[in-house]
Amino acid sequence: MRAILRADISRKKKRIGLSVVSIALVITLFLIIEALSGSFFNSFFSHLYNTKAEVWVSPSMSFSGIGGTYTEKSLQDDVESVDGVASSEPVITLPSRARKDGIRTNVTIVGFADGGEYEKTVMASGRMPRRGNNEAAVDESLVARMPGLKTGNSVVVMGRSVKIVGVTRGHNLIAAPVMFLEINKARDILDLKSTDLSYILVQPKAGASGAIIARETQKRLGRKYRVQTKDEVIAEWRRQMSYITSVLNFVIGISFLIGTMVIAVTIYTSVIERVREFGILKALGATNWYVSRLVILEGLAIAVPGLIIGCLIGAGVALSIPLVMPMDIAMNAGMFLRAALASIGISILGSLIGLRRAAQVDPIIAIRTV
Amino acid sequence: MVEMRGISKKFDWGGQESKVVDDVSLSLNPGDFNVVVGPSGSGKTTLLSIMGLLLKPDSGEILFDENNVVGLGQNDLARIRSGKIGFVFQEFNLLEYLTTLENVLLAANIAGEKGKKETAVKLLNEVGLGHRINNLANQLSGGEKQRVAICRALINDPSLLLADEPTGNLDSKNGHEIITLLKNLVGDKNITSLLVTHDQRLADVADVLYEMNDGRLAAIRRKKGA
Repeated sequence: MRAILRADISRKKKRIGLSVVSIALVITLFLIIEALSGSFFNSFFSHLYNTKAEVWVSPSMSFSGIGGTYTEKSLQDDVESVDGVASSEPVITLPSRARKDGIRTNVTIVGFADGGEYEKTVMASGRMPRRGNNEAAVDESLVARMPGLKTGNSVVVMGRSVKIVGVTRGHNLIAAPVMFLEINKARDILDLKSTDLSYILVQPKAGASGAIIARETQKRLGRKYRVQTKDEVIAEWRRQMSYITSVLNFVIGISFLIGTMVIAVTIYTSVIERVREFGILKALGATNWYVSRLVILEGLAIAVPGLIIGCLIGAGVALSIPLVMPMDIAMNAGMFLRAALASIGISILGSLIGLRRAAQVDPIIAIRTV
Repeated sequence: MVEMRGISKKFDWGGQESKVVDDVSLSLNPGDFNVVVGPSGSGKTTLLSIMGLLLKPDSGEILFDENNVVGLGQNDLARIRSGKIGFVFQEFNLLEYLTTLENVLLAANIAGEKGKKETAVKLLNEVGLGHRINNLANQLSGGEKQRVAICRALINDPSLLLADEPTGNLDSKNGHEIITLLKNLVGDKNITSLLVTHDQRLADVADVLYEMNDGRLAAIRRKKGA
């Protein structure tokens, strides 16, 4: 059986090679999407849950104020004049990169108001930075990425050195760990104007309803701004994530379908070409299972190299993403296991039509002259 | 002992039924060189296919070691073919991209027999192909291919050897060599055999000669002791 398979593959190198490439592409795509979605989704929600502000105000064009800045001097005054608002604080959120002892990594700078909402962040150690000092707090996910980083060390951000005074827990925003800076320091380092902000966090007075404040603020600010409660922000992100997930799942589904069809066509063509050969094998006493194994093994001969190549390329591409985008990519054994199951599934599904045809071959074909 | 009792087979040719094998009974003894002759369309190959369990008869029994195998399922029939029947085809039916040795071992592999390499080499030596074991089948002459096919048919020590026009694609010299080879092997190994042919030379050396006409079979000659 091995001899038949070996000889059969060597006769069809080109066709099988093309199929292997197709499967490799499917697996590559699958791994990249898995790596991206896993890193992005998991980290973003953890940050939202860790933010305790009741109402978020952001310019309408931004996506809940994440990753951009907006300048309007009177915005914060307008928000604070709404009934029931106890305080408001501007926040800057921008992706950046940090460096220490030659190790570079992506970070998300969060510039917050000293004494504001972010001051209450859960700390693993130390404290949050204070106004006027050249200080930063980093999330423990950044410490994991920069071995040896601890309170008292300095880290370079945008060419400027800041001293680490605390380590926070659960702030891995947009797939990159958060580095907290006092907002003016953040504006200074990021070269922003003193009125630039990404969003405003609003705290209601005791007994005031966040939902009512959000409604009133929205009325006052008009459509130029988006005002949401924390629950609405989370719900919106969940909704957006589910759209993105659906699109990604659709892309994965289509690529699997294409992969399955490529294997199906390759295997079916191979079976059609080998009808007489299968007839001879059956005449010699091969059972349907014996012939089926030949077909399945041919499918696996495409799927297994495709899986290995796809895993290598997929992992390579996924792990290279942080070099060009401010994202942190984490890959785990489960992703590779799912890729392996997917490729084996594709090969078995793709082999089904060929298997059916092979099982239908009548051994009498061997005795007929050609 | 292999036996057929009352075997009949009809084919439907575009709505018209034709009885290709008509109530044939046949008992084959080990070591006899049994040959069936007859004109084209007389039903010889159909009879051989039924005996080789490649075709199901419409009626009748086929007894292997006194067990009727007609009602068995496809996989059971396949197992009997691999373990008890050796086939030699007119077209040789070797897998052209395998070597001579691999082609012989293929039948053992199908039967689930392991460790048959020595036997295969011995058989190939017996038929004069010991020096060609690593040659691909498509590098062999017609006569050599048929010898490989004979070795493949014998690798599992079958109790029945069936041959369909084994000299049909060979020149006179090779045909003669194959006839001699088959006859000697059947006698030496005491195998039950049935060959169908147009070749008068095979008919001449048959221990038992049958003639088939319009689906009916009649023994027309038995050698002394057969």
